Amino acid sequence: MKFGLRYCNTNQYVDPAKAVELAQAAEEAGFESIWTIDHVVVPEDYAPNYPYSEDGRMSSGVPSNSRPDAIVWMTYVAAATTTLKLGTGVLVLPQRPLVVTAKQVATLDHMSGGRVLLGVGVGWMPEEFSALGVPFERRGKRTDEYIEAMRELWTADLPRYQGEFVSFDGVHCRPRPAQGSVPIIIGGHSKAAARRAGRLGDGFFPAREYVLELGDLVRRTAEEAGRDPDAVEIVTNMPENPDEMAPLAASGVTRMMVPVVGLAGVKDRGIDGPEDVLKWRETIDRYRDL
Amino acid sequence: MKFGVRYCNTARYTKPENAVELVQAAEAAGFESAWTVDHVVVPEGYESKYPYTDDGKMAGGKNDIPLPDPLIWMSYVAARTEKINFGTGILIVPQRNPVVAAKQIATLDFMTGGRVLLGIGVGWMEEEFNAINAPFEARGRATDEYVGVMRELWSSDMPTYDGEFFSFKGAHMQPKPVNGSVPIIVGGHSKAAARRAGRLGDGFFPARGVPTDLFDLAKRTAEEHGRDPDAIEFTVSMPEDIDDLPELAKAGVDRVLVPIIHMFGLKSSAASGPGDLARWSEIIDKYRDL
Repeated sequence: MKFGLRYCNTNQYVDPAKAVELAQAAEEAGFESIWTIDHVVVPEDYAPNYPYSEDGRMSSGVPSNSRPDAIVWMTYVAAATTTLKLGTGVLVLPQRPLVVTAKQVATLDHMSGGRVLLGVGVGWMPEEFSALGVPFERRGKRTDEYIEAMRELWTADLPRYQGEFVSFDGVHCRPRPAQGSVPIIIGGHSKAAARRAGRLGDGFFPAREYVLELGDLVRRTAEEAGRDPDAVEIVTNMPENPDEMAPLAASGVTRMMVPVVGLAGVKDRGIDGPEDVLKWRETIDRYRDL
Repeated sequence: MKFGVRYCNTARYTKPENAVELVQAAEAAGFESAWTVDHVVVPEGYESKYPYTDDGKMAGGKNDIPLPDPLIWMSYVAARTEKINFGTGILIVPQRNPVVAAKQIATLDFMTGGRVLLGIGVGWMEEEFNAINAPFEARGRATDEYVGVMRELWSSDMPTYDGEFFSFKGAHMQPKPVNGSVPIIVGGHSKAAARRAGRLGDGFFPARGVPTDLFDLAKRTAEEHGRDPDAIEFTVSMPEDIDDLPELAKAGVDRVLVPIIHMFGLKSSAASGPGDLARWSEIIDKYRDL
């Protein structure tokens, strides 16, 4: 079992010194990865459609919260760490310009020695898409294309792609990721996300508690697409009771996410600051081989 | 006189450890800034003419060279330095989504304690614009608008913009740049670039030589637009002969950039590596108050 820390580019960790302190503590405690969130802008009047809270608002309804760019924040932190992986959880992929994003992710992977995990989501806030000049409609189809085009840019000798939303014909995009390609983990708590993970993902991360049916759907879709279902890694939130990890591991979960803000799911090991991260060392050591 | 090093994200400095060594050496020698280049992709067989060499090709005609994304490269290296500024020289602004770029630049400026200088250009390689799906024909107009978009996002509490390419209302974006905005230095060796610098720039950086006629044009244009002409900083390439520096200062030059690699089509004295930068400390000390 691998352990990741999530929501790392929020709250006090917006501050660069605190961010570095957090990441170094995570590395020391044995966390495998740290994860960021992504909103480029948050329009004041967005409709309350956030899928993960009762009232449809995020961050207690404060749109002006500081949310450093996920890729830039991770890059800064990468320079101060050596083995810790850096993941987006998630990057709203279809609202970013694809070719520039592929270049930036490849550059970060190159600079960090192959430590990037690219969690992607399709997004839920039409007002943010609008501010970025990207249609909200058909964002799923756009995401599928972007994933294919990114992999082409990362791995082909002379990348070519002909799609509905992105087209290029014989372009050099260097440096390439140190890993050859960057693992793409599909985020989202829906059947569509599970199917996308089965079809295209190197991983699946339902944003809330793990639902067996979604995991099954990932595996079934992978098989239908002629892919190895074991090659799609399942990521889930850390349960409150560590004993619940064994059955999760048995059902295919390979990474647990621990929040650095709020205490959901981690009552007695809640993290109020970088110093609390070290409390996790024992748990991580104990369940590492699960 | 301020001294910068340029072409820092090229050649062997595309490797992270070499990059850090280079910029730490520059910082120790008293250089004020380190500058990067930008091409997202290089289309094979491009026919657009590079304006700064006789044969119209860049990098000696090599297309598959690594060109790390400048913002990501700068984020990584900035984390390992204390006070040196980081500039893009230049970022091809109309090839980027200005809302994403504004967020990334603001994040970098925030994380580095206000050490970002944004050199901008309109671009010249049509094939690259096409691969990115960016507007080549409208690149001048797009550049003007994107600068407006970025400054609005950086400086306003409730950013609102209504333009030809981008429109948003009350789009919260945090963090903000440390000093409220990021200096924008217009690059390019043309009357259009000089006029743009006068109209909206905090600086002007003609890529070659010391074109005093363009300096005058930038100042005159600034006056015509009710701006203070002396607020426009002039940056040029390091002259062949160091003894020319006093004359440059008299002509209004505020910053000279020393190439860290031999650059095709550029004659001026280059630094040959991190070790070579130390000898510049004497020159920098001597001419600092120029």
